[in-house]
Amino acid sequence: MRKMTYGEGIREGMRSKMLEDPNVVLLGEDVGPYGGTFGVTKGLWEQFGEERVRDTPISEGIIVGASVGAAATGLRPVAELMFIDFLTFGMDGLVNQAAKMRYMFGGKISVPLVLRLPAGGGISAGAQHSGSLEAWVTHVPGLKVVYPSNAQDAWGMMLTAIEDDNPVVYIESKILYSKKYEVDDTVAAIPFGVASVKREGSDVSIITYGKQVEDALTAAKVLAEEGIEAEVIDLRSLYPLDKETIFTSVAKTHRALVVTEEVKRGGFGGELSAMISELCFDELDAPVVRIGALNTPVPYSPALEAYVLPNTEDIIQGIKSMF
Amino acid sequence: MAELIVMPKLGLTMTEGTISNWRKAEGDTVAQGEILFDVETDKISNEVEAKLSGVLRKIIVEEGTVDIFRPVAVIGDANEDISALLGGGVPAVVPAPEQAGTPAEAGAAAAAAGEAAVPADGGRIIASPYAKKTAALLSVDLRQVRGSGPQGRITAGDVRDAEGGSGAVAKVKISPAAAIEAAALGIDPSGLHKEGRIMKEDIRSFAAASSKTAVQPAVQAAVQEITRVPMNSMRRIIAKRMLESQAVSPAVTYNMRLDTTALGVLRQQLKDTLKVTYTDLLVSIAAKALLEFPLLNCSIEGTEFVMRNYANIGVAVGLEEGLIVPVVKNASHKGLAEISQEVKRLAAGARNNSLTSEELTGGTFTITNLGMYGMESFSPIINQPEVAILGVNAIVDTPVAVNGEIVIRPLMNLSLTADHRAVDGAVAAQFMQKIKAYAEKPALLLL
Repeated sequence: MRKMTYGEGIREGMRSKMLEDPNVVLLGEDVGPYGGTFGVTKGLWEQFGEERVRDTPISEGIIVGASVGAAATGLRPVAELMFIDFLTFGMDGLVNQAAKMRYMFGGKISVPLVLRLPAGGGISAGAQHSGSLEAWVTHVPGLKVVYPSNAQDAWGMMLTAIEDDNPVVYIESKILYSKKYEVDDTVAAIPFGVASVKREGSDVSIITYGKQVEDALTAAKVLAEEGIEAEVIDLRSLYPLDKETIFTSVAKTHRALVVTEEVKRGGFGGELSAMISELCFDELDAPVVRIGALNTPVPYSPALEAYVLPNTEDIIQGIKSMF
Repeated sequence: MAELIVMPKLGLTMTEGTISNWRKAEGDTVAQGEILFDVETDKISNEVEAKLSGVLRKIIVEEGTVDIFRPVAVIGDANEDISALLGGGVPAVVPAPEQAGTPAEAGAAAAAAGEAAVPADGGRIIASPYAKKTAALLSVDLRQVRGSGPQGRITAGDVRDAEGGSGAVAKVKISPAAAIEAAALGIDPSGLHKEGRIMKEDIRSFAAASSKTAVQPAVQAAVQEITRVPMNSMRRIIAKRMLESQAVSPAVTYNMRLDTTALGVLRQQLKDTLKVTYTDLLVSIAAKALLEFPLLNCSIEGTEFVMRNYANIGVAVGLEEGLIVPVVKNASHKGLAEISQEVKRLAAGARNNSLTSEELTGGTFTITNLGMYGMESFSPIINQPEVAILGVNAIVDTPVAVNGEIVIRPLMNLSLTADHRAVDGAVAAQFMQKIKAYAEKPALLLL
């Protein structure tokens, strides 16, 4: 057991795969000597050299486009965009090329690409650098989407992401980068589509991922003092999705709350909520409650940002509204 | 699109109405023009029609008094989200003066806040899907369960509590429909020994079997039966107003006999021009007389008399279910032809329930006629806030002494009840003398 930050977990996942396979390469803005805007790739340029850890121009279109081409022709690139918000520029390469190539070429081409997307707010980075846009990518057939919530998962899921022959969108919670977690001495690949039950409970299921896992656990602790035992499910991978764990939990607790950092409109939380309502209808003792950000771009002002983003108190109130 | 149904304004002076009965339950399909609910004002009862077709999604005010234009229900599509219409303070649909919530509104709010999920009349039961599943599993009738969840929703916990609470009987495996049937027939389902679930058919055959044996001796005895019939809204209004009148007015009844020979001649003379009834004639005569005896035409407010220079004569019309009093406005200043037509029109309106609140209010004096039933005397009750009422009796051919000779004359008694607060005996008597004079010598009316 050792202590490691979330960012270090991501790095160690990449490092171990780079050590194993010379086809694993990194690219992105300032991922080289600078070590990445958030320091995630620190030391990898020194270790693996400029051939395998490449700085790119400030162009998400180039980063994604070059990565898709590299992946289609035999490399296993791990590309970093500085902020998920700028995925807009790389969207065509991702959703029209990477996601569809295997399908359109009858399985003759695979795209083993990992696209790292720092997401979320809470660091006063302003409206263009704080987005939670997982719904944009979970919507696209052909993409796998993961969103680890701690260092161990970040490491284990990075291994799986790089091993996967399909494009994987690997979303990272910016605010967790420097947060420390206990990590096993040896970390195995964590298969996609397996959720993690972080806390068992009998009265309500909190379904979440990323930074909100921590908030949910805090909320569960408070609620326990009031006699409500919440089960906290960390989905870890959004697609493929571990429906079984969700449904088993809801069948046990009969209440579900979905909390995500995105705005609720058109969000992935809505997808989860709808799925539970459709498939667990007879198990529900209350409507599924969704918690998300307010319907606005994320504000720069720390006070306003805290107001807009969902927090522990919102989760507590959301759960109380079900009883 | 769901729409709010509001308390309609049924007359110029109507400010509020009392919902006495819903003809439709929540969840019922309603066609445009169908009767939705009954409204009582202080004067009349009215049926309110649905202005649009759809499903009666929500009854906001079950019963009680509501200001006009305040929402009482929502009609919409079966699955439409109507929470926006129900949310907030439910504003008046047409700008109306802000008023504090009436008790009825408060009552509705209390119901919404979760007194019970079940409207007493068997409307839609709000229960969570899991509660329904649990109820089916435990054979609990959801209508018997009190909802403790948000908005009074029944949760699975409520179902389990209800099951525990009803003890041994609830442990009988019985279908919900069978439980209802059993309750209706007064059968204890635990008396049926059946493996597996008791179904409705089981209850029925059990009832049939037991009635063959046990009930027979009772049939031979003379059957005395008491049933309770709720008053309809008109009857309730009559009961209330009559009792109030008796409580308010120290009433005295005065009987006066008059000779209707002259009125008979008058009717004959008018026959080819206009068919008038004795009632029409008496409305006309009374209206004239009232201008000369304004105390019989007043109302009492506190320590003041409200005097008028006109007389609006109410004419009581008997209906199958009660009594209604449309008013001939300004009868003191109308000719006989006009009065006659108006009495006819109002009586017809009373019989087909098409009178407006306007036509039923504003009376200053009432005439009520029992002559057609052969009555010769009665003591009518004053129609508040008036102070007097004239009862009209049968015309009876009677031997009388005229100038020392016995002759047969058509005589009629008039029965006047007057409020002694305003009308002393002498005044009442003089008023009756005046009526008698006009009736026996109609030429006086020309003066």
